[in-house]
Amino acid sequence: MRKKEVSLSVKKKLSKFDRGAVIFCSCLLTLFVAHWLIFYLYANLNSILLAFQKYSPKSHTYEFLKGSHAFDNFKWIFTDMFAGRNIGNYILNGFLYQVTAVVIAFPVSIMFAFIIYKKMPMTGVYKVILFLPSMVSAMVIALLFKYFAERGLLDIFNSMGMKIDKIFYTDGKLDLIILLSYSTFMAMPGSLLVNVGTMSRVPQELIEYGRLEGMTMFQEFIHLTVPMMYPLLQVSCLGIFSGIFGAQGALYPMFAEKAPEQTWSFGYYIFTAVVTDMQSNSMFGYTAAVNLLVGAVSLPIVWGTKKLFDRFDPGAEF
Amino acid sequence: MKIFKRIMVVLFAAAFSLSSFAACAEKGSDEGSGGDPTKTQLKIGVYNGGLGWTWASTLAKKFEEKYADVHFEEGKTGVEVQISPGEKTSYEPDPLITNIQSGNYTQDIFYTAATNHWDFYEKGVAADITDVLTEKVYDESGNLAADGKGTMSIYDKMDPYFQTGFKESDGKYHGFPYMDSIVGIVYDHDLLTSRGILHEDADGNVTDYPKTYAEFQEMLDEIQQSGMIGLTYSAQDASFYTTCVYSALVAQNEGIDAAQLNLTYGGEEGTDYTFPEGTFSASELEEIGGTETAEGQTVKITAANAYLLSHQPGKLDAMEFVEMLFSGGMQYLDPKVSFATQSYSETQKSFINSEKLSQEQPEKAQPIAMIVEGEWWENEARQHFIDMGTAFGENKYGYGKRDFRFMPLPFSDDAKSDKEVYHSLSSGSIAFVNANSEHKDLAALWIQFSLQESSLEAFTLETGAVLGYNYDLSAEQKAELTPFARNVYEIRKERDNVVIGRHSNGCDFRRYGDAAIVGGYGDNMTCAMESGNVGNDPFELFLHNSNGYTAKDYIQGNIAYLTKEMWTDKYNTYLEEIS
Repeated sequence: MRKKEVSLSVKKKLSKFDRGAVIFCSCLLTLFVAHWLIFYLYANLNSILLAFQKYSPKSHTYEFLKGSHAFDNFKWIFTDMFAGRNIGNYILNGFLYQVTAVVIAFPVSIMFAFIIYKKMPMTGVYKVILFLPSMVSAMVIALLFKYFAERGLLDIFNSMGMKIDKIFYTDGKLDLIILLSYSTFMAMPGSLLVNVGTMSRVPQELIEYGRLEGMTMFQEFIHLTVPMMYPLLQVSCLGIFSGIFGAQGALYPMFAEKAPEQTWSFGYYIFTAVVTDMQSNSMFGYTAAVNLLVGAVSLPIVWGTKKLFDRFDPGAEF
Repeated sequence: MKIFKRIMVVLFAAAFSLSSFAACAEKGSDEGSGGDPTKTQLKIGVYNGGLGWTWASTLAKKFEEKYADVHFEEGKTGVEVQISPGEKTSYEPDPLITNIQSGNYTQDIFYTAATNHWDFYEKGVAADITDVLTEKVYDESGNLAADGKGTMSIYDKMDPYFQTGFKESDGKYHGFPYMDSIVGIVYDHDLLTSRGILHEDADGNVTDYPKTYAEFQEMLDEIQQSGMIGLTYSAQDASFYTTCVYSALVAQNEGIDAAQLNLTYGGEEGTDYTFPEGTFSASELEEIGGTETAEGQTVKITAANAYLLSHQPGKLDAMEFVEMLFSGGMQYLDPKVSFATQSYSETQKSFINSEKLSQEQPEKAQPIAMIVEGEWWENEARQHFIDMGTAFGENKYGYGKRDFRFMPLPFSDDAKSDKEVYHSLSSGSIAFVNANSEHKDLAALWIQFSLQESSLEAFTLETGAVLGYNYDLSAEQKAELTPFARNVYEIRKERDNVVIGRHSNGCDFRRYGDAAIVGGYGDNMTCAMESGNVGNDPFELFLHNSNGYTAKDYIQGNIAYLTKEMWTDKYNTYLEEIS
């Protein structure tokens, strides 16, 4: 009897606790769930439907395309790719922005994280150089760089004997090179905190064992640190290939909608089609269709990327 | 303790959640909310652009004085006018309409820079003010009649262009024209006359403005040889200014009526236009229903075939003028034109400072002769002038002390008109009464007060800009204007040979057809080039002309873009939508 009473009162206390906890958690999460439902689920569903709609300037509404016109937005995309705008160049530029960020900046960011984790000389300097741009508004940094490039860098190049009239809006590739350099530098901090934190989880015993075995710091990095943080690297790299379509570099912060056309990436083209002075209501259906196509193309790419990384997974665990 | 913890947790959760709604604060709540409880508030939002908003504050004081003893609401005497400067991007049509519809913006009257007045009517945010505009409230002098029995209305004072243009599809007026500022090539008169590039008579009138493209280029060569830079403008911020310059060139070459066809598409009945002989082959001419005439090939232009206007020869001539400006590796232009950091303000400052800077650092700086700007520019650059005056002497460099003037644009050799054209950027931007306003009667009084003769004069005296209404300044008032403002006034009010080009009156198909734009007058042209389609104003086309296209190439590109098939498809889609 007593046991029953005890178990009942414990159950009552537990259920009271659970109930309270559930109510509290529900209240706390309600806002975020609502936010997700509206700004992610509804927005994306709406975007999918928008891919099959067209803007009517007369009625100021979006109307579904009917019959043989249902896929007009998609036809428009393929027309643009082969006969209209320089879509091919835009995708190529997006590839360059992505590649420089991933192939150059990402490994460097891992190495910087390792240097900081190991508390090597000049760690503080690296922290400041890498972290400071991340703390200041991206627009401010981009504006500073723009002024530096056009007013400062130009004078520097000319004083070195290079006859250059302008940095941006050149006929050649100079502006693309400058922008790629800027994007690469800005991508170098990467996820510094996360990387350093993950590296810190590497067991000290392994490191000491390695040292006893005569392992150099580079060997430690390659054979110990990287394998241990492989899952993090894998997650960071899943979007390598699909990111080509969205990569914009620093185009919008630097130029708003007036970036030199030879530097445009596909992501920038789509973005400026629906925002800024260049936006047109008639482009929403088009860009929604583009995003749907990109999503469809990205799905197998991301799956393939994961499979590729899984193949090289050393399987190390903490 | 437990209760205290619970209270703290609840408060924290509430604060955390409520902070998400911080962005929903009412815009303008820091301007004009509250106010004097003994007076009726009239809230007015004014686009804070080149003309600024201080003119409205000055007018507001006079309005408050006039109606200080009037009861507009029970228990209240007089009116308090609250002016809120409208930030540029938030006063763009889409965000402004959205904010009014959602109730975020509650001003009674809005002064905008938006040309598409019909959008405000169609979205239901602009109240019907037909009675306000047509009520005879002014006496013969154009001021409010003392006895309330006037003989003139706002409508009577409006420029005829706006009398027709501002009438909406319901036959009523839902707004009145505000900004109507012209854009052109502004030159430093003191600089060019002192260097002997231009000459003036005893009255200070220039006697040798370049009349043709060739003469203009000769002038640019002279300017260059004198060690000056010919022309500057801000490609970053002000590319739409150069669209106005191109539009004015086209209108001068074609005549204003033929240029306006690019907006009206021939009107309801269609309009005959004569292309030069040989524009179309015999079969093409037959297909489009044209005829060979003594003057050339005459075609009736309608909405269905307006794409043919891409063949207007005046557009090619104007394009060749722009090509000339950019010739010789942009020899006539300021190297900073294409800089991404050259904002309109930087460009103005650079233009204003160039003459003084070249005196102090002749090896580094060159004076700049001309700038592409609008009639608001001197008011907009006021602070630069004040700074210069402070630094180098108020009498010579202060605001209003230097003589800047609009350079009349030259004519092509085949120009069909001899009228000087200046194109209006704003083309009568809309000012309107908020449909949700609870003080529409008071708003009506403000509108009538602000558009009386004395108020219009005060506006011009303060801003230097001229509004699209019938009013005049006295000789004494003209003498108060800065030299530039006086030049603007003379161009707009006193010169017989001047036409103001505008682009807000378009036909239904142009407004509602999906990108059914011919371009070349009031709009940019889209050109189908080998490297892909480009849609920009001609200055921009030549500024970033990495493919070395010529003026002819771009015009051919525009013709190639505006195909019969493409146009017919758009027109048929438009007809389906309206049926």
